[in-house]
Amino acid sequence: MKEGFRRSMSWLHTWTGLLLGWVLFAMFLTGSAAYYRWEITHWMQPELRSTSQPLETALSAVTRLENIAADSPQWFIDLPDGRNDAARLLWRIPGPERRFGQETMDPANGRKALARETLGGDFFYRFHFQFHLPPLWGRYLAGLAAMFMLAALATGVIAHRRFFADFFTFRPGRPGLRSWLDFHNLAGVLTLPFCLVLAYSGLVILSPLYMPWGRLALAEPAHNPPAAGPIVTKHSIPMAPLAPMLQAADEAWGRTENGLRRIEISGRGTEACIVTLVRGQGRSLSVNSAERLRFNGASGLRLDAPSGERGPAGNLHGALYGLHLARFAGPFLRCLLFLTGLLATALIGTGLVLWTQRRRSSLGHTRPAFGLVLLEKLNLACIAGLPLSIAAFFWANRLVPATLEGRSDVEVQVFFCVWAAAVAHAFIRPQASAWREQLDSAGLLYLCLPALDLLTSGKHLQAAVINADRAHLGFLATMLVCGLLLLRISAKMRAHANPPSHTTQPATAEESVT
Amino acid sequence: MKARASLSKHERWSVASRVGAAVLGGYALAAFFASTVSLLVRHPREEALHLGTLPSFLVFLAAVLWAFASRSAWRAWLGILIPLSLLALLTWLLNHTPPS
Repeated sequence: MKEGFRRSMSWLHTWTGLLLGWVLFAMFLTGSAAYYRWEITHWMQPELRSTSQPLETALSAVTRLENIAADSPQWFIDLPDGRNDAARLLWRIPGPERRFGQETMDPANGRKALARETLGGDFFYRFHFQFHLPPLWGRYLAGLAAMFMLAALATGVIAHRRFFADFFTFRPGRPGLRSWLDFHNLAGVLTLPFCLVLAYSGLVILSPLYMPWGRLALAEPAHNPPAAGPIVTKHSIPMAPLAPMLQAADEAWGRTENGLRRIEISGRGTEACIVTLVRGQGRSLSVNSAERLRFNGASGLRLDAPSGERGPAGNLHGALYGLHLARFAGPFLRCLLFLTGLLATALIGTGLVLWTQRRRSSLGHTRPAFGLVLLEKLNLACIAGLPLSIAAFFWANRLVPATLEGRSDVEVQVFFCVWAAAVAHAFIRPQASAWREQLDSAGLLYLCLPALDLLTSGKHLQAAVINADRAHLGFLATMLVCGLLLLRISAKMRAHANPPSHTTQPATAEESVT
Repeated sequence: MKARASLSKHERWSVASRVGAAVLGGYALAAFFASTVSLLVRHPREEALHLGTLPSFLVFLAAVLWAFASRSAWRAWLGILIPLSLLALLTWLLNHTPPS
């Protein structure tokens, strides 16, 4: 009975892991990159290097929005901070649909930033839960994958008889399945808390989409000022001057690291216009802890803060949300989270490879079914192909002309074209060579990225060295390490495919079958 | 892993049925759990919402594990449908009683 239970859990583990394994692999890899969302954007926009005063930037951002989005009912202004060089302006485009315009503003002159147009780190951030699909579909897929992850983790722990004993078992030298499995177990134990919290908190963050039933059961009370609002016309009510509001924020919070960070203006042009000033979160864990000052935008009068009182469940929700976004993390913790994220990615990757290897080794020398071969090819195109296309994305950032119209789309197209090419390559080449070739080329692309940076934007790199620009140099160092890591994995695979006794026969059993 | 190739027709149906119980039944159970708890607590509103929604994903997870751990597909469905109908009944009752 007990054995049967364990076996069924083990069965469930393999299938939940396999079915959405590729989606999870992509989610964890891009999610790990998204921990450095702003640093990646920083490197991808080398023209934009500025230090600025938040208050002055806020005023010039409002002036800029008056010029480009005067008829919009809703504005959002993200002010630059230690990790973010520019002010990001976002405004709702008038009309029935929820569409937004956005612009990056250079705080130095209050105009559109002259930096190259790019999605930067936002590409990874969005891809992490939307996969470049239509937003709703992407988010549903991400939710499904997170649920699968939870199931795979729970069953993995149950199925694993000697959970902690195996933690101390690593046989890297062993050929074939054993060392893959050991690594999978080791990574599983190390990253278990990380994966559990991230999968669960991811579901919680998007729970209004996945679990709307509580909200629906509690009848919605009428609230919210008319955020969509009518189109602002010349006759509509003008806004009160912003400077006194900013002054109030300045007095309340000071100009420290967690001073004023964001300005939201909704219901513009109406009497119900509300200006919300949001304080930076600093090192606080929960997203709910961000302090706000609210003003009536028409009269300029200060409004009472909405009651910040939250019960334990509300606090837990805020903490889970904050844990997932990890805005609280300083440099060391951020690095640790990034590395854990990569280890979790490797956990999923090895799990996928193990599944097909086990299938194949149980076949002996009989010809594998088409499904298994397909899985192997797609494993390869995902596990080796995705790092390759990310490298291509970075290369495109430096090679596509900086002034080209619509260049941020071109970068994304390069990413997907290279990924498609990786899929094609996986089907054309024999299995073992395709793994090595994709891993090697990805590794080389990462390794040569600093050289490319030097050749294409040498003066920016020079400035980064002179100013000890940690984000820029840290990015390049990370790329070097990633490149070495990929080449090392490739070398390991070569050693596996050609054990010392058969060095003269490159065509292994694996290749001859495919 | 070899076992799958030799799954009988009966076993295939059993697996498909369990998948149905886990995905559809499990989600419905979690959904009614969320609405029941939210309606039971009701006030303060945000708190009621989170108290219902936060654990609902774990309810879903538990239902999935149950669907595959139970001895037969019938038991899997029963174990999910009984609490599901109780919660659905509770939701309905709470919806039709004015909050005190």
